[in-house]
Formats: sequence, structure tokens, C-alpha cells
Amino acid sequence: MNLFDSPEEAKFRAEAKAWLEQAVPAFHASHVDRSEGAMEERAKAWQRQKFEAGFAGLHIPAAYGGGGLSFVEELIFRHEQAQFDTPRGPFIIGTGMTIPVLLAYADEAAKVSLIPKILSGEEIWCQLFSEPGAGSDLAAIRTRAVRDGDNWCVTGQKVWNTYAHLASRGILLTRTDPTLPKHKGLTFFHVDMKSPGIKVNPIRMVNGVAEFNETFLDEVMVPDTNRLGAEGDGWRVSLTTLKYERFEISEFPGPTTIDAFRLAMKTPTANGSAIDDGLVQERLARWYTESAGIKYMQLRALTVLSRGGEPGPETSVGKLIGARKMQELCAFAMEMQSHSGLIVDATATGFQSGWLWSPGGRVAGGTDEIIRNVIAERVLGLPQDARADTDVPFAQL
Amino acid sequence: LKRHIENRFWRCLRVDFAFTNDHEALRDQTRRFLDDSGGLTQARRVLDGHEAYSAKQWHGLAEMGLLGITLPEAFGGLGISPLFMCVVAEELGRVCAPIPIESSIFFVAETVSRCGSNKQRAKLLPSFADGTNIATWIVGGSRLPTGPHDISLCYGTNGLSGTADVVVDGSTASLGLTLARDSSGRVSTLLVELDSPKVTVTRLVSVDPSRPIARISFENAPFELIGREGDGWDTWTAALDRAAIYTSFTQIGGAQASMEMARDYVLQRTTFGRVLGSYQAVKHRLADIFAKIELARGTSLYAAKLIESHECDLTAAAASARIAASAAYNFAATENIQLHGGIGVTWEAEPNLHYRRARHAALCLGARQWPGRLVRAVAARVAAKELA
Repeated sequence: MNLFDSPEEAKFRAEAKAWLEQAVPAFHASHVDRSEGAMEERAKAWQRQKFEAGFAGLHIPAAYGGGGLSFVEELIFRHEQAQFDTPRGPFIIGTGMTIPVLLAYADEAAKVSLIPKILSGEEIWCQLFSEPGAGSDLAAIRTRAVRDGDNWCVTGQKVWNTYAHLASRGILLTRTDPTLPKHKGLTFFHVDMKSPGIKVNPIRMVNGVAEFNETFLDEVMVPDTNRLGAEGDGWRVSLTTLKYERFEISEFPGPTTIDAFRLAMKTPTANGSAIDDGLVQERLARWYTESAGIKYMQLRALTVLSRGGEPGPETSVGKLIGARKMQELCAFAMEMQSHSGLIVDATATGFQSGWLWSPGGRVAGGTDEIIRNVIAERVLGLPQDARADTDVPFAQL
Repeated sequence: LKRHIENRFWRCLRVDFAFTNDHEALRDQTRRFLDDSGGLTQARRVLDGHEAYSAKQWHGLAEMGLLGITLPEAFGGLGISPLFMCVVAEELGRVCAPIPIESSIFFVAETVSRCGSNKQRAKLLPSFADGTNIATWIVGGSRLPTGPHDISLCYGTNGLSGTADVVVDGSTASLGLTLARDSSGRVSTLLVELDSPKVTVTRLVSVDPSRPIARISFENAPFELIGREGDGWDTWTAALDRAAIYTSFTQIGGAQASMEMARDYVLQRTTFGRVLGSYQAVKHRLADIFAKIELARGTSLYAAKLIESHECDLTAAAASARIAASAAYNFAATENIQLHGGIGVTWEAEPNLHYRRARHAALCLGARQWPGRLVRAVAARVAAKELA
């Protein structure tokens, strides 16, 4: 990959790699507990370590604790970091979604007080967007915020709130005016998760892990100073969080194509090993091609950024292909293991847990169907789906 | 033109994984030329048997210097980055250009340029670059060889003998690059004049008549060696990888054109009171075509960048490019007909030109052996890493 860096970028990549090579083993030596209970402390410690070394939020202005460089350096660092086993997850909402919104809409005092605490690993943030009745159709949310002097009184139910149980703060989308059409009456806030009236319940997923939550808000008082963007402008503000989301979700953690190669190489068959079997080869070749294609699509997007442009919605193709690939690859790997493929984590590679999680990949961050719609409408110029509710006051729906 | 392109090209290297403005300028120039020369109607003319190949496109490209983009300047080429050839290839793919560029340029001229002696290069490359000499590659039998043990053409002191059942451009080429073995089993690549009385050429009927195919028999035909005797298999596989990479760009161009043709059609066709393109079943199909094309663009550009940086081990990258590009073009061309409905199945309508060409492109350098080539190349790397 270094092949395509400019000399300065190659130099930066080498620095990042050199730091990771000494920092990651040191981190593992001092954080041996990998249980779910230790996860928060591990994630915070790793974030703090990056912050102290100057590698946290490389594209964030130095005044807010970042590196003051461009997003190109940030992506180079992420790419190098992805080659190592490091804690990931709890800071994605904070660094990937919250900071861009704060930079665009918060006042100076809020930026100075909030952003450095994310980058330094002090505060985990969560996202309070989706609701039981508003997933892909996010603008259908019902959580109400009613003005009460200098505060807003918020009541409603949110769902799929990743790491909300660990979060100090959250970004929150509410409805402030139900007499307007659904996209127009929304307002965006940030909220202290310790506020009275907030209750977070874990949701256990198919793979047994409970990183998601449902969050109940019962007359939670949110100061008006926590509002981001104008009253009624919440939809536009929420789109800011999605700007960099495409770079966050396009490669899933889990078994890789090379893991499937390794398995095939050591799986015996009647006349040799699975790696020589035509059907296995066809599958491996397809997944290798897809992995490579996704990687180079990201590199092309990076080039667009590097040339001063902004990658468009076509970048989401990576997630569309990557999520399905993960599902198929894990299922096929389990078949290669014969009936012992039924045993959870028969190998350290985790094809079983990958398979159990993989349906989530096709839903999270835009379902396959939504992504296809986005590509068809915004890239290929096909008509938008018929929408019966866009111009109707929300209260009348 | 050449100096200008080169200077600007080397100056604009940043994270540089995309075509640059200079590449895009050449793309525009090529597209204008192809549109002026009649676009898809040239493929139609050849399909209908009016010509064996489009002389207008072939000689026009030669005049613009585009056949010799990657060939050395000293031998009549431009000697500039292979990425320029890739954008030209993509444009040719868009209009199913019925010309022997894969055979003559991507395969044979590239091989002569890399492996030929200076004398051979001086003699042949200028005639490839100016389009006066058309060449093709030839293997014996009816299947592509699976290994150096699987070569059926034989050469010796008497000349070259045997039959090649399928030779793309065999009826239009005057020169062949063949893969043959001698009595001791040594495999070599040889150049053979096809106008010789010792060579019999029989035209065959292909599913894509816009690209002629012939059977060629040799009976003690005279030949000369290209590269060292015994190096034939390596020369051949290296040539195959490079030709597959360039061809993947013609496939991408064809896939993109098929997708655009389908998109334009579903935007104007109405059923049940609404535009066909407003149905999700149709929108999602087009999105899937787009996704496959994007994959192919990524893998092919990476492979082309490896050629540009003089990387030798191209097999895994070439195989990924070929697998992705074949999948994209086959899918796009097939679904383009489906989205056109009945009219798409007619001879007169345009979709069948791409449907045929997608098959031609997927088969002419072999189809089924590529997953195996890819897997063996990657598995060898994985094994080496595990040992280390």
C-alpha cells in the first residue's frame, strides 16, 4: 500500500508504524485481562496512550487536543493501526460521529471542554438516534423535546445505542415540532448520560455480546446550551455525523479472507487439501478479489480526499460487499470444518462468532437495501422511492 | 504531447490511487475519436460481416499514437505509463471496438517488447505501433494449456507443426506468437509468419462475430525464437497476466456502457403508470451492477499500478482484476438485456453486442483457470509468511 503514498505520507506512515510496533506489545503486556468487564478500561487506556503519543484525532485542530493534520494522515494511521490487535469500538461514536458535529455546530467553549476529553480517552460517547419505530426511516423518530425555560424536557425511547452503558455523554436527535413535516421538526442535542430520567438497558445480540442498548428518557432536562444547530435543523445536523461514517464501517472486524486461506490449506480432503479443491478455490478467489476491491476502493476515496475533494456515496459499496462477504466466508469456513464447524470457536479464528454476528453487518450503518437505494438514486440518478409522508405534518401521520 | 503528459504526470504524485487529469484528458480525446468514428456502429459493421475488423478505428488509433503507448520510444512507441493504455482500453470497451488490440498489442507487442532481442524489437515494434502489422497469440489444441507439460504444438529443425483450434484474430493476423515444445520437452515461445504456405487458416463461427476466430494448422512452418529456448512457459504466463490486466479495462468499459445503456432505458420506459427505473427491483439490480464495476475498477487499477512500478509478480493482482472484471461485464451485459425486456433479445438492438463481447472477453484468455492461479499465488505467500 505504501506504493501510493507521497514521500511525506510515506514518512508519516513509517512513523505511525514504528510507534505502533513498540506501543501495542507494551499495551498488551500491561492489559492482559480481555474479559467483557475489563473492556472499558482497556479501550480508555489505549485511547489515552494514542493521545499522549499525539496519534489521537490527527485531523482535529490542535486547539482541541488533536494533531492538526489532514484526514489523509488520520486514515493512514487507522490503516496502520488496523494491522495490529488493538481495542476498538467504544470510541467510534465519539471520534467518528460526535467530533465532526461539535466542530461544525458547537460554540468555542463547548469545543474546548468536550473534544479533548474524547480524544484523551476520558469520555465515551453514544448515539441516541434510532427508535423502535424509526430505523432506516430515521426521520420518523418520536422522542419529544419540549421547551421549558432555558431547558428542554425530553421523553422517549431510543434503541441500538452502542456502548451507551459505558457512555458519559450522548448525541441525541429529538422531535421539537410535530406540526411540521417529519424532516423539519427535529432538533439535535448533546446530553449528559448521568442526567436524572435516563435508563440504559443492555440488548443481547445473536452472538451473545451486549454492546447495544435500549435507552429510556423520562422527562430528562437538557439545557438549551446543549443544542447543536438551530431549533428545527436537527436533520441537517444529523447528516454531519454520517459524513465520515463510511470510513468507519467499511471493514468489519472478524475472520479475514486470509484466515479462510489458512483453514483451507490445513483442511484435509480425500485427495489432498481443501486448497486444491476447485469449488474452494472459486470461493477463496472471489473473496480475495472482493477484499482487494474494497481495499482499493478505500484507497481511491483517500485519493479523492488527498486531492481536496470529498468522496461521494459510492464509497458505501464497500460495506454492501464486505458485509455479505463476511457472512458467506464464515458459513463456508464452518462447512470446511465439517461437523466440528458447529462448535463455537473450535478455532481461535472465530468463524462461528463471526457467522453469528454477520447478519448484523448487513443491517448496521445502512441496510443492504438502503445502500442499494442510495447508489441507485444518488449515484445512478434513478427516481427516489415514492414517499407518502414527506410533506405531511408529522402529527397527522 | 508525450513530453507534456510525462512531465505533468510525474509532478502530481500524492496519495495517488486514481487516474489523473492527464489520463482523463487522453480518455476524452479517445472518446471523441471513437464517437466520431461511429461508436458501436463499427462493432455492428463487423458483426454483420462487412469487414474483418474496423480499419477506421484501428488506423485512427495508430495515427494518434495510441497503439504504441507502452512501447519504447526508440521503437515507434510513446514509452509512457501503462495507465494511459488502461484509459484507452476502457474507452475501446465502451464501444465494443472490433479491433485486434488485445491480441496484437496487449499480448504480442508487450511480449516482444519485454522478451525480444533488440533486432526483433527494431523490426517488429514500429509495425505494431503503426498498426501495419497485426499479430496474435497461438496455443495448440482446443483448450488453454494447464502447465508446461500440456503443450501440443511441436517445433524442431523441420519447423513448427500442429493445430491450434481456436485463435482469436487468426484470420486477420500476419504474425503469430506461439507456445510450443521440442522433442526433449523444452517449452519455448516462437514467432511464426502466418502468410506462409506451411500455414492453413480456417475461419470459425464465434458467439461474437465482431471478433474473428480461426483454426490454424502448421506443417513444418518456419519460426524464430522469442526469448531464451526453454523459457517459454514463464514468458507465456507473464504475458497472460499482463494481457489480462489490460483486457480487464476493456471489460470495465463494456460493463460501464452496459450499465449506462440499461439506466437510460429504464428512465424512459414506462410500465403500470410509472417509470421502470422507479421500481426497487430495477434500482437494486443496477446498484448491484455498479458495485461489481467498482470492485473491478479497484482491483484493475491496483494491478495496472503494479505494471507501472515494474513489479514482476503480477499473478494474484492480475487474477483479481480478471475475475472481478469478467464478473462485472458478464453481469452488466446479461442484466442489461433483462432490463430491456423483449427488445433486448433482438439482433438489431444494441445490448447483444455487449452480451457477446462480455463472453468473448471472459473466455479468450481462459476463464476457469484463474481462481486456481490466484489461490496458488496467495497460498504460496501465506505459507512463506507462516514459515518466516
